[in-house]
Amino acid sequence: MRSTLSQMQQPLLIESMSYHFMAPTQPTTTTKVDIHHRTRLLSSVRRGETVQLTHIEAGRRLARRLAELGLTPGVTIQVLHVNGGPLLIAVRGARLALGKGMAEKILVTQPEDGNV
Amino acid sequence: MSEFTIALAGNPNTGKTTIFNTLTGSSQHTGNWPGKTVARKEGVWRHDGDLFHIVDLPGAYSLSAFSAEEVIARDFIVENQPDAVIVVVDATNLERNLYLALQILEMTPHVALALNMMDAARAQGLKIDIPMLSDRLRIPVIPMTARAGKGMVQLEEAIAGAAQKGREAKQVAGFEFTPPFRYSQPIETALNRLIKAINQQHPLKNHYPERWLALKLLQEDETCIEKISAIPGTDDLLALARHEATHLHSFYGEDLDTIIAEERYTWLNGLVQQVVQGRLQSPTFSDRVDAVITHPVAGLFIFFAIMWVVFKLSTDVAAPFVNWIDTFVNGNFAHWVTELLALVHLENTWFASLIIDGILAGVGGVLVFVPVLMFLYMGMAIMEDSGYMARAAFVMDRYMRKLGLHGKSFVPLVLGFGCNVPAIYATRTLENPTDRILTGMLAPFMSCSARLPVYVLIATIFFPEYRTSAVLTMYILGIIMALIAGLLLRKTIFKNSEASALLIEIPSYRMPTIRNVWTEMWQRTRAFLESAATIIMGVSIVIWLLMAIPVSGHGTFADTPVDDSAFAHLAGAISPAFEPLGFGNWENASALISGFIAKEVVVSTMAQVYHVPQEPQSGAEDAGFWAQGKDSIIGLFQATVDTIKSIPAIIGINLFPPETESEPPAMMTAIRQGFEQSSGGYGALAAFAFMVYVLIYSPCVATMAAQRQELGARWMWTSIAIQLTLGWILAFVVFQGGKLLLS
Repeated sequence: MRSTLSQMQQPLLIESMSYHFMAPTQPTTTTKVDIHHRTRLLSSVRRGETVQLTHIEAGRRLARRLAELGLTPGVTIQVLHVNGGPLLIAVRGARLALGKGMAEKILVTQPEDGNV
Repeated sequence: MSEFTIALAGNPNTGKTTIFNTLTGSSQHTGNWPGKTVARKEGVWRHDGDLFHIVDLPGAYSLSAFSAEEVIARDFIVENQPDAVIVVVDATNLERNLYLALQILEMTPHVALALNMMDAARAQGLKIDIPMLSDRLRIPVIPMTARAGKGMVQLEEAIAGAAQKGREAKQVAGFEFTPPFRYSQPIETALNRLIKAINQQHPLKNHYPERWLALKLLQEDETCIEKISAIPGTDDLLALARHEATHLHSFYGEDLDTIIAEERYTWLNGLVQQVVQGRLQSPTFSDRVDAVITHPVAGLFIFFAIMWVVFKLSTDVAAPFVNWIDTFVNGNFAHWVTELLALVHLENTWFASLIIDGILAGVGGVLVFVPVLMFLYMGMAIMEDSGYMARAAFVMDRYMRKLGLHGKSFVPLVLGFGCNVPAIYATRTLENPTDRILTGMLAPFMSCSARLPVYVLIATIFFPEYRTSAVLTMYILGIIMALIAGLLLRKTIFKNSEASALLIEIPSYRMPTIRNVWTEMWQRTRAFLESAATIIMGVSIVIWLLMAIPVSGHGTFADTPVDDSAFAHLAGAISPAFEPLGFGNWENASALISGFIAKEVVVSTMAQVYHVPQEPQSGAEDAGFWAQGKDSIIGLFQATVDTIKSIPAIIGINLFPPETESEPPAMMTAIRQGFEQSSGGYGALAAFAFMVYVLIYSPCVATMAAQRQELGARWMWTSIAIQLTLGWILAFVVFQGGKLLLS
């Protein structure tokens, strides 16, 4: 589970991270399990909640764009404001304003350790 | 002495501009990148006898050729190969900011990192281990606070050092270098195979950084593949890249782009945890402020209040300066020039007329925009520098989206009520070209302040009791037309594109610095002067020529009554087009023609062609040279006082004594008669149609010049065509429809 590992990593373990990438066994398992349980759209997340990104359901260009802004699988997202239209989120220490349509393409789940 | 080229890169809102301004000072020159509407800033910096050309790359979050800005930044680093790249990062937002640095480190090793906003980082309790950061990234890292000028000396040293090193390395050979970061093994294996293949291609070998090229080919980057496939003999390489990409895709079960971004971020996340002590707690102070500023109701109210202030700044507060410039250029200065011409015995010749009525009038027409623009740009620079602009886009996005526009489109449209010219320049804040073009084409429908005197004059003559309502109707009609035109354009010309979804970074609030605001304000004003001056001057001279050439009567060149000039005949030739609208006489047509140059002159042209002596300009006619000079300086002083006095007017406090406006009754009677005649007895209706036409047809030459500069000639002409047709149709409906209802 790629996302779990990036959550747990310790500062001194960084160099060893690459070993994990040498043999990713079942990269999509997390997503599959979550679909039956608690995966939902980022657009449905309420203000103040913290969630974890599982997958982006978008065209290649947009998916790349979002990934480069830090929205990669496993990252934690805090929803700061929702005003019926776009969302204001905190991700990797930055604040992003996301259109509603875009938030509907982002699948999220409860963070695995419950508190981030 | 050596010459170096340095590129300045960084995310937006990192203080890159401040560093650029500090380094290059007044040596900056701005332009556009070839074939793009993205501003290119360049400047010279001298250090220890060496000359450094500093190129300010457009602000970007990554270099994946997503936007025009990214393509420019990327191409410059890869193809122009600057001696060093300075990456400016926000110390409070390291993880996201270093992403760009990491991408640049895959292109060139000659990088120095300007770790800016250290003051904010310290205030937030962040401790950054600079030596370790430098060690891990393998580049010099300079902690600094550019706004306070702290760390500039060290940065300068680092730039000079990096440039020297970059230059030496360039002379040695090739692009072989090891970036600080490696991907997971399967990607590295594929990269190595591709690098090998690239090195077998001699034309490629020394043109591109090999590892970067391999990665781009693996990511199936369109622009890169296009460039490579144009080189003969690269088919095998491209086939190999496709094969490797497919293989990796099935291996990871995810898009390769996502995997690459994720691996970079994972590495950066580890690096930041290692280097930075103390983590930002959210919600931060900025977040708490945003709870109000971005609130659906309060946020809207705040936004309108701020726009109101900016709007007032550019109209009422700028007005005394506008009047002063107008009086100075057309009064005192014109008088001096006349005296000078008299000294060389050229008074009352066609040459004097060309200088005074043609060129000076043209220059005046350009210069009166300067105070308006400077105040508008000041307001906008403060909004951008403080971080408010991004919030405004966030608040307005949901409403603008319904109209097929982007949240950021709102600001240019509101500015249009003051003046359409800065409104069009303000579309630059929109990243997507389609959004930019659409907004730039709708902005002229916003009734600018120059159209107001026309409405007031016509309404005073024809609807004295309903003057305010008539004027207000024009403003509302303009908004409705913009809505209709916007929806129509989205359904026709821009059928295949919808407003690009909102995706912007919301920067932390910052106090705007005077230096940045001033530089922004001055540079944009200068850009306007440079581009608009030529076109306005040109058109002014053409109009002058037309008015100078006698076609009938006994006049000679440059000394002919307006009625006999080529201008009157041209207006007469055009006037039948306005007959169905009720104002088809040559007098009105000529007012409309000159209104094509600037709406400010519609009223004065009407006064001229309806044979009414104009009020003398306020400049003292017979005063001596020095007395006039003194008058001008006193006038400027008075303008400044008036400006300061008009600031409280923003919140409704009027410090000016009440004014009594009075138009010469003779002119009003003449205009009334003119409209009654041309409309066959429906004067008021024709006058209303005239107001509608003035609202919708092309606002002025300066707006056209702005459209050409920002959107390109094609969209300028499209815009003009739409304005002329739409204006005609609407005026037709008003006049003929009204006639049907009344009869």
